[in-house]
Amino acid sequence: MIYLLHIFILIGIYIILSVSLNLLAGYTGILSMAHAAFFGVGAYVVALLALNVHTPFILNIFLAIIAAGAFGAIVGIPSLRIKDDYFIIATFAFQIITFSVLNNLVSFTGGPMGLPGIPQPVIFGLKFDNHWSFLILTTILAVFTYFIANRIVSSPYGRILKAIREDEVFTQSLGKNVAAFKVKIFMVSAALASIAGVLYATYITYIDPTSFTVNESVFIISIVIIGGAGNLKGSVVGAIVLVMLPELLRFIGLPNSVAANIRQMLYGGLLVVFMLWRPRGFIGEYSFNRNNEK
Amino acid sequence: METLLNIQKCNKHFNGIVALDDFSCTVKKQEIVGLIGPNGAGKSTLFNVITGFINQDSGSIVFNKKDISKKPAYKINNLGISRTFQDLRLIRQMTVLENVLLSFSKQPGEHLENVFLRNKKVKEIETENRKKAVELLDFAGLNEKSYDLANDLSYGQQKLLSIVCCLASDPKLLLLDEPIAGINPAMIDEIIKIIKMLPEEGKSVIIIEHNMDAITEVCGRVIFMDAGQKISEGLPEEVRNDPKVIEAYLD
Repeated sequence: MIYLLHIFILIGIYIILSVSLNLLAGYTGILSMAHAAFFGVGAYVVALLALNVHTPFILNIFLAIIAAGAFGAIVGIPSLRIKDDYFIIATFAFQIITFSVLNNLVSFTGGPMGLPGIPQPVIFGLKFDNHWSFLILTTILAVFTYFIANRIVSSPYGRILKAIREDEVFTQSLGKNVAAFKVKIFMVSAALASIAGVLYATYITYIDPTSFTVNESVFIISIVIIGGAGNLKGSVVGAIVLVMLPELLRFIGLPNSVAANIRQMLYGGLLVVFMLWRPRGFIGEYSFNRNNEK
Repeated sequence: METLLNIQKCNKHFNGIVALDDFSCTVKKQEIVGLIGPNGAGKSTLFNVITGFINQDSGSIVFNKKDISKKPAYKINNLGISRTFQDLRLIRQMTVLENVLLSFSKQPGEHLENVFLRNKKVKEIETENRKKAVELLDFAGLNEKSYDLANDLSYGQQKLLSIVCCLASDPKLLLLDEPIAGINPAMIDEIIKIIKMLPEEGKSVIIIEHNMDAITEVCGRVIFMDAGQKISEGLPEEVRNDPKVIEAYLD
């Protein structure tokens, strides 16, 4: 039972990550490789605050969201000036830099040793110290993230995001400040991703830089693409499928050491298969392999 | 009539190729000006310079008493200049109605904070815009296609839709880049009818077009351009019979 609850909590965390990336990659057509970095910012901000300043959990969430949003602006403003493949490379670089900083700033982040003993969340005296209660907290925050994202994409604001994805020049000719729209949605996406980081850090109670590598970014991108870019429900489906799939491998009797390696191959293979034969994912509305040159 | 747009001594070079060479012209309020000339004369470059998609090397552009020479494209649209593109741009994966809704300027719902706040105001304006969009589509005869994807329209209907999108922001000046090239005669009549109505609505128009009959029919004044320069200007008939124009076409 505990094992199942653990899987559900992970699914909740990945739903937050994939929904927030979908706003950027699926709806606006900006494929960022730095999503794990924002996940990490949320986790480290909440861990450092809880361990060193002992501020309450609710305040920490807010501070993590603000920090990730600000970090999103720092990454987004320069890198959104360039386009397509070059943008992907720029965010890739920020992802690597974030990992290196977390890994080498030993006095602050604990370096490769990480930060152990992160206190579990307490909200108004309510302790979230077992799997059941944590699942409830995760569900609430995942629903909150989905609600915000859904509100954005179904508004006139979301209509412009989709227009930017389809034809930036045309959108600009209609009097929309495309650059500002891109930076803002980048910040929103980063801020929402940090919520997942907060949950992850306080759930596992230990974090180290290896949880926030470029592999993690690729995994989140896989969820968005396989679930379906440009459709929020797709991200939920994608998170459920991709988190559950490797767990199924355990049940067909593969030894753990083999299963771990097969996991990576499985993700890579799935991504290739989907890109070739179903670029829209399960229920997506946008495919990255489409020729958008116009 | 008062001057709406005043272009003075605009120059633009692309790696040594001259696109605009000391080009000057004015457009008055409620006037339709035709811009003609051979391919590569710099007509579309002029549109791109006016609308801020390309920065000119030198020269000034004053629109409605405001200097717009250095302004970005989106600001120029907000000041009241709308355009269509020669290579026909629309959001093809959206419905016809959504394309028009997207085109209204200064929507409160376009501000991120209003996605969560001022819900009532946003809904109010959105309903109002929807009504206006339906009226515009009615007027253009595209109302039956409202819920089709823009991509599913015929080429002529797409061109018509791109003009409707321009009109949605209620501009003072429309720049139409080949609005009737490559479409069937019935649709040409439809589009010409709409263009001819624009001055009465207080709008000015510049049209790039190769179809001389259409130009003669709608334009009060024609400018002939070649190699980035203004070669001839005047009534359509005058420009057509100008020896310099005939010479340029024969070259």
